Amino acid sequence: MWWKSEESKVMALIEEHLKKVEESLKGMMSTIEDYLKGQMDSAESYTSKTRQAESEADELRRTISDLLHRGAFLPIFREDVMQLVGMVDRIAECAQDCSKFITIQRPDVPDDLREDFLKVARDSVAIMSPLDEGVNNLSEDFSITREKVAQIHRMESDVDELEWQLSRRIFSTDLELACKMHLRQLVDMIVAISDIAEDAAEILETLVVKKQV
Amino acid sequence: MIFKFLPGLYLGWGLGSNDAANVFGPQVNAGTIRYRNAVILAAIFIIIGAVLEGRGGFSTIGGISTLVLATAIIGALAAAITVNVMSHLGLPVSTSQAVIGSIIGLSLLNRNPVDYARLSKIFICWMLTPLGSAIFAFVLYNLLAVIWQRRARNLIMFNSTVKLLSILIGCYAAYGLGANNVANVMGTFVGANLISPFWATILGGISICTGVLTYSRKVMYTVGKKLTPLDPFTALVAVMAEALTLHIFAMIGVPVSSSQAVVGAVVGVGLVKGTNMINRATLIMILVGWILALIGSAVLAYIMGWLVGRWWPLAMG
Repeated sequence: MWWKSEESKVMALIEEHLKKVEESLKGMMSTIEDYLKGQMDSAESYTSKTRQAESEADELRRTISDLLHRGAFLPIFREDVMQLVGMVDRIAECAQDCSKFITIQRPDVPDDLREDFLKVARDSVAIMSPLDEGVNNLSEDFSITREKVAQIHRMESDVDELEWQLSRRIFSTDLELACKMHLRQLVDMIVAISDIAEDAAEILETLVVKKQV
Repeated sequence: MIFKFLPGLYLGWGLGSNDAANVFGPQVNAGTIRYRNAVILAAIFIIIGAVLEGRGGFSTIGGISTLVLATAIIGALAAAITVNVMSHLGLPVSTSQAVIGSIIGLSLLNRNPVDYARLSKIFICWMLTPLGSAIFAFVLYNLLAVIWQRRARNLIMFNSTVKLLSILIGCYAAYGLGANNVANVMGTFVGANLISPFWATILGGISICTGVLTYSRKVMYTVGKKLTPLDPFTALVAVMAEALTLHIFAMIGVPVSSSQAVVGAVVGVGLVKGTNMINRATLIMILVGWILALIGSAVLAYIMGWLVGRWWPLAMG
């Protein structure tokens, strides 16, 4: 179509923004995997890729914000769209923080906990997929967005369960308390992704509710 | 030549500056249309409405009692002053009631016969305005909600539908306002055979447009905001019900109040949702405004007519 509404432009940018956020999550995931394998050079290279993706996502967020300021979307939705994009952007920030935490602070992860860390990280990152579909379906079908919101809530609850189990395992080891706290901090950073994704899902829910008559 | 119509034009200006809020206020406040575009569209459609369907009300206004040059001018001036004073005091006011009030006041002063059958018809229409608007809003809400839910499948569709309907319904409401209210502005002059109905619609329409274009911003943002807490769909249904009411009464030939039509419409959608969207104090204020406009304008026209009659007895006919 030769003419695109401001709203369509915003939605296209949001899609692009989501891709960048996913890219940052992939970078974070690779950082964790390579770090746990002991491949530090590769982990550091993925950290810089994560930072690059986060920076590009941030740039897109600013462009979206400019379009919203210029009047894209009805005012009743504008604030929610802005908050949604901001929330999704925070996921990329979390991915960057987590990658930097690993490569700079190098927490000492015991061998028997490595699989648990990977499992929590994979499940926390996996929540991005329904979030992506939920957000993209704002411009297609609200009913799918609602389904995805429900899926995000279920997945976040599963991640919470894993987090709880991993925390118990960390504190039942013979590690120094400082070490335990360090690992606990890493867990918090990983699960922050699913927590923020759930917050974003709540904004999606608000957007869907607002169109009801 | 045109100077004798000045009180009417002043009344039209006041009407335009006040009532533009009832046709585009919710849309402007909801951000679905810019103020500048809204007033331009309102002005165009008010003129079209006035010229195409505004003549019906002239016989109603002019037929209540006998009018001559002086009574036509005093009638329009008393109504204009009443509307302005009440607006200034923040009281809800209807131009139709002010105009009819002033004609009644002058008829009582001159002991002219009043067409009570016509007057009864007008009173009934006034009472039916909020009621009819509430019924329209109730029915429209229930009908359109089904279509709306199907069409507004996503955010883009929702936005474009709201924007499109905001413009279409606003234009229709402006058309209804012009068609219905131009008789208030020039009715006394047509009744006194000072101008032909066609030119009266043109002149009256232009005066209403001038009010819309020059002085409606403040009222649009204050009065319009009262309707903004409504969601976009509800606000659009309310304006559409108001527009239908104004248009139907324009076809019947009775000028009614657009503000009262809006209030009725909001009550109507409130009934669908099971919520009370207008509080009791607002309804009482509207009733007080209704009575004050009628009586205030009648008393003012009576006093002004009496004063003119004392100094210039022949002018009063």
